[in-house]
Amino acid sequence: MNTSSPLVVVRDLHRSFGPIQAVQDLSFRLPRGRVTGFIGANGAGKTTTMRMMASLDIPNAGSIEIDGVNVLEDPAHARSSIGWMPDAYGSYQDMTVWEYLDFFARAFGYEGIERRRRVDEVIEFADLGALAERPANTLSKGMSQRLCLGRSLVHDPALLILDEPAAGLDPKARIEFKHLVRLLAGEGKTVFISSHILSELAEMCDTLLFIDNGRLIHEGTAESLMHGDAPGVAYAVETSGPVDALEDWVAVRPDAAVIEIRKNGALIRFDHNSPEAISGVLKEMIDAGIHVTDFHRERRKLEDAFVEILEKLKPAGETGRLS
Amino acid sequence: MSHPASHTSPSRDASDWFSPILVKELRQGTRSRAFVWSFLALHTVLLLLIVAALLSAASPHTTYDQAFVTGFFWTLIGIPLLLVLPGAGFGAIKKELDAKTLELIFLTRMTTLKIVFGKWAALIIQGLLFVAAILPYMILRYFLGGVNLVDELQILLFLLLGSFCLTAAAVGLSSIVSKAFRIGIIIAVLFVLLQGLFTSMAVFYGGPGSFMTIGTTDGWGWFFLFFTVPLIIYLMLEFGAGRIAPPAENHALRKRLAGLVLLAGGVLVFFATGGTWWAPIAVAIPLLLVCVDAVNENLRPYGILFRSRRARGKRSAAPIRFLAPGWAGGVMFAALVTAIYIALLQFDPAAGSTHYAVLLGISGAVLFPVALIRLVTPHGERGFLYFLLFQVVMIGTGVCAMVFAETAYVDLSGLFQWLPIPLLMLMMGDYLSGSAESHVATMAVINGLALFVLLAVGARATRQTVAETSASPGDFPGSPAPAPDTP
Repeated sequence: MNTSSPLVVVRDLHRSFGPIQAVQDLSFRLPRGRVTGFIGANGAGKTTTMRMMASLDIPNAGSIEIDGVNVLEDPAHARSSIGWMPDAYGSYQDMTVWEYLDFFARAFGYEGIERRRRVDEVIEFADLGALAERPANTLSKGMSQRLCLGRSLVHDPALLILDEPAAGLDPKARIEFKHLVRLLAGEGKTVFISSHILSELAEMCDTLLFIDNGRLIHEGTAESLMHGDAPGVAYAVETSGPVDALEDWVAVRPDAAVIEIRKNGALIRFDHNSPEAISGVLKEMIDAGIHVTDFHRERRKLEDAFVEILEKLKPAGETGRLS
Repeated sequence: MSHPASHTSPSRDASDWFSPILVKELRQGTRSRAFVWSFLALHTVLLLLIVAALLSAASPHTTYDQAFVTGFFWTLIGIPLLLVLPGAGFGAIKKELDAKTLELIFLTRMTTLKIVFGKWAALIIQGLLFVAAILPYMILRYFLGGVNLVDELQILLFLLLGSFCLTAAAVGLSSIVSKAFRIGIIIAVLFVLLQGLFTSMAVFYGGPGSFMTIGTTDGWGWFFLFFTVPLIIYLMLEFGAGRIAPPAENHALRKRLAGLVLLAGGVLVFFATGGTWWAPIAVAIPLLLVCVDAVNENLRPYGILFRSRRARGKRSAAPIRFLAPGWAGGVMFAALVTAIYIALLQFDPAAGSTHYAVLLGISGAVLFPVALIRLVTPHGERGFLYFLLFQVVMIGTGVCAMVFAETAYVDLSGLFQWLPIPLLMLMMGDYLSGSAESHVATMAVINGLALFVLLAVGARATRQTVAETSASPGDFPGSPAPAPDTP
């Protein structure tokens, strides 16, 4: 298999439940060894898409290929490449953490020493060593998610599909989980992760796919989204003097424009992007007698970017469902 | 990329020889409080029983009540085998459904049948542990005297086989989430099947008592027992597996094929024993279940199930459609089973109109409600629920018909005789008016009409289902061609 080719190719996917079109004409590719975020409001079609990718549901039309294997035609073969972590963590009674992972290792066909080695590796990766003999259904939410991630890694899949993995985790557990996801990407795993919390995904994903009403509405990096379509970079400037002076200074410059006037300053877009040019601009501002008290680059919030994309598509539509 | 690896290690553990589900279930099951406490309680009671028996036997002043001890002994063994194990099986799959762990297992190399079978086998092994534990007491009883060890082992075998079947049925039913629905199904199945069975036996074989001749048929009874029990267990487990399976798995095919094998066994014993009916009637119980299940299956885009066949350039032939999931194929299957039974009647010189009336009555009891349901809602997904409700109404109607026949001055039974279940109930109570030939004609018309409606609606509904799924064209005449892939 060519390693430069995408690991996952989704083409023209459709899935309807009666009259409800859950997924429509959805196509995308997931490059190998990258973390791709799948963002959409509740009911946008994220879980349906992921379930079809994981061979747990069949589409009405379209195709899904994972590492060159058609998921619909050869689901058993495709499943060996898929690690699936659903939004609901499933535990068993009367079973320890080690036995839980051991069961899934057996179910994936590992035997003897190889099975025990695989379980130990996963326990080490997920940092569950101290809890190996604890009953699996008594773990905290954060530890349960680690165990669930470990389970999805038992058979060493090339693709990890994680559906809302950070839902319900406390801040510490979220940070640890993000760290684990980045570690996996570092090991060459392709990670496809969904959430409706944009900021959460922005920090760990290389690429973001936005879905709404079952359709892909945008694809790009978090950086490009926060940057927006407009050229240049935006800086928030605060001054202890009159804001008018700052406005006048910008007005005579061809490389700058005021985006928004604020209480003690303004949000200004500069055409420059390099650090040298920006530090030069700041120096010129101070030299012009403007009493600058704060000067920092301001990125667009991802939520704003998403709302902007939605509004471009459907001006009258409801766009405030994301958290 | 290679196919899923086998990861075989040169140093396999003993547990690697068993199904992962079996290992998991045994780990969980033998640790559960229910198992530990019932195991200890059984031993305590058996120990007390044996001590009491020993003391009674030793004392010249007390009489040793052999019959009481034997009855108590078998009750003690019967409770875990016939009640506790099926009871535990009743929640086997539901627990996985509640914990949302089934899909996690689907993504491994485990098939749904392996999952269900592993759960059943774990319960059976726990049952065998109970049996192994009571063997010393059994031998001790033998030394106390008055016990025929061969008879006792035979009773134990029947208990075990009964436990295997009941536990398989319980595990299969545990795939139904609603407890009320599960209990409803058990009651409905027991009522309808037993009613059908007893009517059939009364008409075909001179009463239920004649069934006891099973052991006097030159070994065919034992052959039949060991032939049917594994198939019945398989069918029960397939019911559960089929309900929880992902859409791309075809369990209808397996259930129907197993049903046909079962029928073949019944037919073989029928001819081998000189045209006696006990074997075909006995297989009729699980076969009726298969038919009821088949005619109530939801229509599915089954073309996807035969992709590999299409990929080899083969179109789906008629047998494939007949075994394909969905009530349309199920109706054809039920009609075939009825036809085989009618053909068997041709080989029985004693067969008369009553036999045909019973057979067509049972067939009509399955097909007639389905025809009404599918006429209204061909794509509805609650067909089985409506079917059960319809049967309840029909049983109620039958009871009313019997009450009228018993109490009314005027004979109203003619009003109800065109409905299959009331007809069977009136026949059982000997309340029928009119000739047997007229009942055969009525039931033949009802069956014919139902079959015509079902085949017409089924062909149309299946074409629609296929058309809605561009992933599965080409399996029915008139279905659309596949849409070209968009680059």
